[in-house]
Amino acid sequence: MADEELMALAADADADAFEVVFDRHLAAAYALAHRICGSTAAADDACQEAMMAAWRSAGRYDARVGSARSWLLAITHNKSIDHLRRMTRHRDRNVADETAAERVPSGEDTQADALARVERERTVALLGELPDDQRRVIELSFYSGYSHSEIAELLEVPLGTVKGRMRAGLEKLRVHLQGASA
Amino acid sequence: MTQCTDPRMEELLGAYALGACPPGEAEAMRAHLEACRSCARALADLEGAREALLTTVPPAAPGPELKQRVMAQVRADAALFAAAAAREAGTAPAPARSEPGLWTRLRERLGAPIPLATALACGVALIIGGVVLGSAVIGGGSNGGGTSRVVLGKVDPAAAPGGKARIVERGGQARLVVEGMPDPGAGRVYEVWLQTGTGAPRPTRALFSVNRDGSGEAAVPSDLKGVDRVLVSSEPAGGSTAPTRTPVVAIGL
Repeated sequence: MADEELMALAADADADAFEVVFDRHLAAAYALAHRICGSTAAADDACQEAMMAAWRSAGRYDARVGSARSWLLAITHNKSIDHLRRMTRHRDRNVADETAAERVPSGEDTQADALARVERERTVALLGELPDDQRRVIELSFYSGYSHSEIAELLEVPLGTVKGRMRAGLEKLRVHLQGASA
Repeated sequence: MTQCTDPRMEELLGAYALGACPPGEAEAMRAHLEACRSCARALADLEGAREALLTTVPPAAPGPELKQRVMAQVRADAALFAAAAAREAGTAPAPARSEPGLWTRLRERLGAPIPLATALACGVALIIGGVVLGSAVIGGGSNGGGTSRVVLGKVDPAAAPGGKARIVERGGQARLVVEGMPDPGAGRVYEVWLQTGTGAPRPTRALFSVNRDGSGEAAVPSDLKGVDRVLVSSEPAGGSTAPTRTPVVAIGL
């Protein structure tokens, strides 16, 4: 059954349906939470918060707006950033830690997993093609939870420059993604 | 396409898409997006890039405890949903509704593993006396900060079978509209409360009664910025400074 159908059942409090969606996307959600939060314990908490929020707000999911996977990951992202901002002092925040320890690789064994891996590798490559200053502000904000003004302070550049780099970086990524899909 | 007339907002689009705006600025941007097609379109264009950023991390397997904790909570919630539905259908007796200790009971009901702040921060399911009260945004922005939106709430079916409640927010003004509500009782009124996070509900000056058909409405005399839930309870005429009865309406914002 498709995620979208399962989410409709979950909106009617069907725990079994939610469990299927949960199983399908937990590894991606957990990995995102781990990258943002920087530790296993924090990632556990953020992921748990996110999944409960998703379950309790399943009725708000609108398949016309996007995939259930994106919706779940967006909730996980928000909860992880909230968690990071609550629990971590500014100077201690983990900055784009792609090599966070303690992470156990997930078994990827389905066709969907393989496709997701291809897509992920493509996005990482495209992100790597961005100019360093643009990639840096995107990573600092999206994965490390810094606000634009905090980034301006951190990098010692004007706030307008940070905003401009964010927009330009996202625009370039968008164009690259379109080009890669064409 | 019409050009944006507010360059400050336009400059902020990338930061907004990345979640890098402070709350006040994000709120201003949401309001701007409702009025500015140019920026709404530009933001929609950036959505694919933002979504791609969500998937750049190789998947990782958490320990089995995470799933056990989450699914235990999910199944407990589902059981409560089922019990509430059964009561609504008259197949089970309604629970005795005690007046005090609502928030304590709610915390117990939701269980320890999930911090209450988290459970409620999502603002969509509140369990009172074993009855699930939920809400859904049916108009306006899904981020909940727009200048025009309608948010459906739920009415405790034990108190008002078939009751309905919604918040209508437009141009900075919010109104609570109810239907199918019972009379609050002799010498009593309905009082509107605002709650943020797990804090105590804050009283408002919004006191109202209902018509014979159970309909009624009240202006919510405060903007709803930072408010997570609007609650309604029956209180002595003149209102109370803290709820003396279990809220019968909950609307998660």
